[in-house]
Amino acid sequence: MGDTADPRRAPLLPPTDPDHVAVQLFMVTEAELLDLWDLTAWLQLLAPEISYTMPVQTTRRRQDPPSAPHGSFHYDDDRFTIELRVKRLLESNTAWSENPPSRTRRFVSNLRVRRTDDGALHAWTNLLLNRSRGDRETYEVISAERHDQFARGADGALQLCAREIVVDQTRLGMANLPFPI
Amino acid sequence: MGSAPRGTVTLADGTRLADLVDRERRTFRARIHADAELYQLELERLFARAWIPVAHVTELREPGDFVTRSIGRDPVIVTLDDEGQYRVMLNTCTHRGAQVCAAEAGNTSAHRCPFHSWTFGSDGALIGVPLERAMYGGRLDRATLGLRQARVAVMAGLIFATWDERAPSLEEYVGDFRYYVEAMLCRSSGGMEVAGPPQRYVVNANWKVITEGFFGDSYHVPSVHQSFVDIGLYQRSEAHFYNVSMHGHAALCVDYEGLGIAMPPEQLLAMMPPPGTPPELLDELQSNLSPEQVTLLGSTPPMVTGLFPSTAILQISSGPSSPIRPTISVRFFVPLAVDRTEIVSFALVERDASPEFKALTHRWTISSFGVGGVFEADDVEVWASVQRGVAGVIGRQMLDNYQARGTPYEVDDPARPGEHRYRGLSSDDLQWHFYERYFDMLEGE
Repeated sequence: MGDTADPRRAPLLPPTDPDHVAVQLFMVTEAELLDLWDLTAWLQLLAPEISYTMPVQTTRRRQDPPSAPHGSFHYDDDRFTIELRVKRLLESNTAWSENPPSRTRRFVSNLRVRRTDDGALHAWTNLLLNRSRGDRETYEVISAERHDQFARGADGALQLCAREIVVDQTRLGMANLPFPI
Repeated sequence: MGSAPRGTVTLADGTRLADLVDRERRTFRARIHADAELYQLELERLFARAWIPVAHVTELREPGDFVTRSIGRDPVIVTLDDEGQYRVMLNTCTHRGAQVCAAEAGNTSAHRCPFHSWTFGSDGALIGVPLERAMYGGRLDRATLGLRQARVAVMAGLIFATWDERAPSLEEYVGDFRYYVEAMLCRSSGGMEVAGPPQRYVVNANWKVITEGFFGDSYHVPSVHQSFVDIGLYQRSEAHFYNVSMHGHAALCVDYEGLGIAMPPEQLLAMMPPPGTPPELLDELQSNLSPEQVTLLGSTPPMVTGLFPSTAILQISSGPSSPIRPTISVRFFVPLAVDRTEIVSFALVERDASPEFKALTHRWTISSFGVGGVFEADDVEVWASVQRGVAGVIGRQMLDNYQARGTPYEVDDPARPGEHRYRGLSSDDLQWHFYERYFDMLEGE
């Protein structure tokens, strides 16, 4: 993401910074929309040029390079594929993976907002997503760190332009991911 | 193959395995998906005996490169040793059984067991035992204490292994079906490579419930994947297939002739190159494959191929005008338990394709199939649903039905060779031949 220095090296914005406040508001609003399945409204939060990825993680030794030279992904979405996911869920009653729909609960925490030298706004959050399917008493869980990048729309509102979801599992226990994380 | 004595296996409750299947009516009891005793029998008679693909050669480029995988429930290290030989070795210390390799991928010249530091070379030889002289004197026979090795063979870029010393060679195991495998995977001089490490995810269903879908089940498509018709990306239409089964392996091929698209193979290939092949590699395709294979790809290209027992090769194209780009993937179905299966799914790309073409192919492969795939999402739902449906006392007595018989294709056709061939609408034949082989192997000896 970007070819400049690691954006994690930029200093954290204090919670009182207006950008931190705006990102915090974005995060809880987004989680609410997703948990309520208001995916049409959720799409409005995305920049036209969105990159939405979840790289595959592998278990490696400390002394080996942290990831394979050529990465692979669970999601590698652009605007078209994200809209395809949403359209299937909203405009068809035969997307069986989500009909009946799951109950999902997103816990979004540990917000860290940084502004890099080029003015770009980055945010990192921890995500715990519980998915309850059918009458099963066990949850399907995604635990991940999300790295988001924001742009400003014409109205000045934050727009998500890139998201990388770094999932904690190498072998996913959630057997399908039909909805945005 | 096919001549194994039938009726020798009896389960703990007195039921003969042969009585669970009716080969004339083409039914079997759903119990085979829900019975832990049968699962154990499968591990012993199928997964410990068959040739099972465990890795792609492009995962291992340098000596010492390794990945860890499973054959059935046995963990293995797949590695390229210092002599340039592929090795598949049980990831189990010959001292007390701890796993000697804890990582999923990496590079090492030696695997050191964390328990007592017995250490094994990249070829599996025991090369280090702490305090050997003091503790064991001269009594330790190192030569017999290397990591347990499987037999290894490579075909079409896939590294296969079997534990069975008496099994026929991989060439014999795949037999003439190799024609179809190579038409899918050996089209270019540079060969295919994995786009990255495999996606791995666990489905709560018996491995056969998942796997059989990749042995010719085109019937599920309009139902399970109806959402794509609902949103206007596909039109409901009658589909035509060329289906072939050999020794339980199966290829489901789109029949463009049957669909009324009749043109010379070269012309069809130019209009619609096979998934993964960029137009600039079509010349290589023609020179690397036989004229018969070119005809196959240019008239009835294999779309989903199953290698018995538990591997699938996908090359799915939605047609030249579809916004959905082709999928090209190889996946292994690993039986973790009677009701749990790991899917190990690789996206493949042509090594000599442009970076942009590779990225596009990779993107659409994982967006269509895999844990984040919009198509596979609904397959997974149905697989798990089958498992819940057949788990009960009555459920496992239910009969699974495979009576849809296709139209035999009896033309002497060098482009479409095979043991069992069909041409026409969807049928249950390829899945049934999979189960014939399955029951034969479970009864074997």
